[in-house]
Amino acid sequence: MKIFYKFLHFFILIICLLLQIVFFEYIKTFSINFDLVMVVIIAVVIFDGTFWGILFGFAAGMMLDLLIGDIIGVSALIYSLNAFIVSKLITSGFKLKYLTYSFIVFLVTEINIIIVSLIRYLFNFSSNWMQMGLELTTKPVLNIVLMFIIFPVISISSGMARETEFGFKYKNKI
Amino acid sequence: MVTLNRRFRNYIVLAIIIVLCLIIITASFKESDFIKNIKTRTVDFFKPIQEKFHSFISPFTRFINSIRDYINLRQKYLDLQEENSLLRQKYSEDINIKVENDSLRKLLGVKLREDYETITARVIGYSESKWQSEIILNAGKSDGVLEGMGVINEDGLIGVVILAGNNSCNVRIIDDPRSNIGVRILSSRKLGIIQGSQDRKVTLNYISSEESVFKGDIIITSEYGNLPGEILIGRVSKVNENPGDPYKTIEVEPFADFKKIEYVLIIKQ
Repeated sequence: MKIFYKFLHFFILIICLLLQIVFFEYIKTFSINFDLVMVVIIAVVIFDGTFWGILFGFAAGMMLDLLIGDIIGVSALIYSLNAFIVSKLITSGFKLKYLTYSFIVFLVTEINIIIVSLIRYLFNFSSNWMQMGLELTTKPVLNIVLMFIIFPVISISSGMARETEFGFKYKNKI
Repeated sequence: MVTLNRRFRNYIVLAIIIVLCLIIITASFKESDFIKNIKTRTVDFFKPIQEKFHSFISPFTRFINSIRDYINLRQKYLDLQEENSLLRQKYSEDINIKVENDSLRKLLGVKLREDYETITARVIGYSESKWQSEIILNAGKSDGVLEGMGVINEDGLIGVVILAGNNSCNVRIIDDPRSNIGVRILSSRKLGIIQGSQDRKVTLNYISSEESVFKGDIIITSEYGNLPGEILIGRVSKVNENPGDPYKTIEVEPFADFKKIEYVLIIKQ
């Protein structure tokens, strides 16, 4: 049954990936910057564990790079690192509650933007600091909004009872 | 013990993935055929699903566009009124020039420029970030699309095909920071290159500071690049001269609205 949930989450991840490509990438032209894939990966780490988070992060990142990326492998690397960072944040004492989930999403989004900019900078791409500042301010907030939609979907599809979802029982998975 | 093993396993998996990603990134930078093949196949594999998703999502994108159009309606109306009065003034002048041009062509035996063949395609995906601005179309090699072909819509040039799969292709839009297209200024016939930027501004480069360029000048493609000549691109919106710089800094406002692209034409060369 547990493996069924993993497949289900992978299916949700693929749907979110396609949504990102056909819709969320489009609304980026209006400076509305969501990262749906990253939010799903954070949810997978929290509800399924680090191992699956890292694997799903790699798979989703690779697919995203192969479909719309310019440097193949960058998103795969970043999403896997994101999954690992989330697991470290949880094991360092973050309680599994929605307020801390929000903080985790906020922090991981900020780290994500900084890592992406750093990698691009190292690969000789110039950086626009104004744009980066804007992204650092708006993207985490928008991702937190997405979190309130994605997290319940993933937690329900994990077959998880509400008290477990808000408690500490899943901490040993990390 | 179990937790320790699990933690150890996570470190190993992460290390393997990091190494794998670094190898893939290097291969991608070297533009290896293997990576390109996988990319083409992935784009082709996802095309039917992406198309279905896009048709499901397109009413939402149209709705967002209509809100934006509604907000800009008054400004657009004023702009169009101004443009209309200018066009009316030019209309009679142009008719005279056309009559004169036709008779001169007849006299010299010069044929009119032939129209290019096109393939109609639909946008099924987007890729927008600071570093790239691309769209995915539902036409590929099986429809005759090749890398390097130009993509236009009713307003003007959109971009260039950079990756062609069997049933789909990726197009780099002209405001992408890596986009470089050879162009001409319509009035003065001067050659230059337009480039995109991270803040989505399109600039016309390599125009000497001694040349006179005016706000409103029309930019078209030059016949010396991969694209056919005389495709409309945009209008000069800002001209700056920097002391000590041999070239002018010219900003171009593209005619095509990249946020509203739905159907496009791919030019067969």
